[in-house]
Amino acid sequence: MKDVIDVLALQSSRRERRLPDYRSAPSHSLATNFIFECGIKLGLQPATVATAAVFYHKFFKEADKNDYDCYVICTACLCAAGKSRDEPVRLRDAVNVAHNSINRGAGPLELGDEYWSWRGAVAQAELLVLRLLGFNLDTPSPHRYLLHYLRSLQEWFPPSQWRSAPIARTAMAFLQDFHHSPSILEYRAPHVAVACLTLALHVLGVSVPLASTLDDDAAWYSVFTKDLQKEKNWEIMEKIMQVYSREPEPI
Amino acid sequence: MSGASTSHSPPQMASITDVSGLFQNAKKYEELNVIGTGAYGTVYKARDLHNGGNIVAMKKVKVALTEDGIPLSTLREIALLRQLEAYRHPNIVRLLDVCHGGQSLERDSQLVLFLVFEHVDQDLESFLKRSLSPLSQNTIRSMSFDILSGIDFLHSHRIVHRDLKPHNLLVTSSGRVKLADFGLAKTYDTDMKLTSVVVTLWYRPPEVLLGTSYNTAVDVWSAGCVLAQLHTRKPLLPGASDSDQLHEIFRLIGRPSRQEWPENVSIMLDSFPAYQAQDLAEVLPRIHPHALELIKGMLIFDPAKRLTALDCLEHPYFTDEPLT
Repeated sequence: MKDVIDVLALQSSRRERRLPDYRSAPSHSLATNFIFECGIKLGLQPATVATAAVFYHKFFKEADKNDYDCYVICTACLCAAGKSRDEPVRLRDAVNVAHNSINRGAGPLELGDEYWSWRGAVAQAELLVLRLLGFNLDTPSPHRYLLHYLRSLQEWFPPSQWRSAPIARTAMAFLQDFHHSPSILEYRAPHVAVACLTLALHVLGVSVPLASTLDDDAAWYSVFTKDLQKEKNWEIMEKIMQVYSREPEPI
Repeated sequence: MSGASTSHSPPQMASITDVSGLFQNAKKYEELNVIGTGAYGTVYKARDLHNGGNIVAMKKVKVALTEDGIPLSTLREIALLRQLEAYRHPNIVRLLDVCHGGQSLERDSQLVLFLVFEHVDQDLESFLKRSLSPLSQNTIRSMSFDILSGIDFLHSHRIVHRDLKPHNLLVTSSGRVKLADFGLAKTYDTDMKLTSVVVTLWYRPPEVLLGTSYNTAVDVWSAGCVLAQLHTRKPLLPGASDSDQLHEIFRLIGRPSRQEWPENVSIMLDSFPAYQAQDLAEVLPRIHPHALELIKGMLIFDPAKRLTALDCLEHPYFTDEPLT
């Protein structure tokens, strides 16, 4: 029994070491990491966490990054995203998760001044986020497009080839990671989904069956979205790859 | 907050708690006068200072903040209105902006929201009152079509209006009709049973009066009453109370049969005299036969047998001759 506990302790301490230290990070450099970490800890769906990241990027497209506390706004974005996608988060849980992620190893907050000022700040920030977004909370969901494209492609691939590479998982991971970049706001959801899928196929060295028989200016994804040029697709893929080069401290 | 700010240079609580200040600085609207007060809030006429002094209608809505901040239902409702706005449907009133009120947001206090709509000078109620002679057949037909197009649009987005009446149907200067006042519009879940204090008495369908579950068909009933009113310029079923309203209805369409009477209703079928259906043509004299048939189809007791808004739009009344 003792061995098991030791292993667990070892694993958790190793995991702890790999988690980013938000307190020493330059402001906003780890904002989206914080959203993803807290979102996962709060048990939110990936698409909801992604929505929170979109809210964050939209907010700071309008507001000055020096004017607001990054992590309070991030927490508020998670709360607003949860509500808008019908996956509400208790304010108290959000506050505790945020506090604990910043102060690693700290227990839940006592119901004291610190708790109430955190809570007040997040509640206010949520209203501020809503106001700045003009209550436009309906974010286009590239997740849905990607899922639909994956389902369609799966039918097109020979089953053995489809199973040989983790196409769906890789494409979904690219999509989720792309939410670290404010560039996600610049492209239409179907285009983002196609770019994630194309990039996954390239990375895994898989080609779409019979794609090589197409004309030069035709692309296999034109059945999904007609108005995506090849150059544009490359541009989005490059933006996705940039996420990995600028990530300061991987989780 | 202190946790987040321990290593950050100056803690930024101030800017967060000063949210209200931020909103006030950006003063965008100048209130002019009160247009109306309803159960759900006050409506002001206001000037949009950022848009050349355009006149707008601002609906003030008070929202009780829960312990988790703004209530999920309110948030989703506003987001839904914003989402609808993207379609710019010609028969739906434009929602131009949503803003917070400028007061301080104390813990567990109320939040004041302003929904900013386009301003339309008159509603159908005052329009009908002002028109001295009967409306032309063309006007009636195009207004009927407008109303039903608006309803069909809402229904196709899973929204039930639930409070259709001449008072919240707006008539533009060019005579187009727009649906307004979604104060109580809700996303539609199948078979929800909601409170009965929703639809103004005269336009209430029997299923609401009887307290059974209801759906999009409620709007079609209400629209049927409004369409009839376009022809006569007076309300079709002016009941004085809940039970009187049911009597009015059954006097017109006849008492439903025992098979049609819904289960789990506290009111007995036998508490109503065995009314025979009236001839609607006598109630609505000189009406176009197609219009008569359409309204009949909208005023059917069983919501499942009633026409849908889409059925109505495809009715010969609208399709036989092109709309002008």
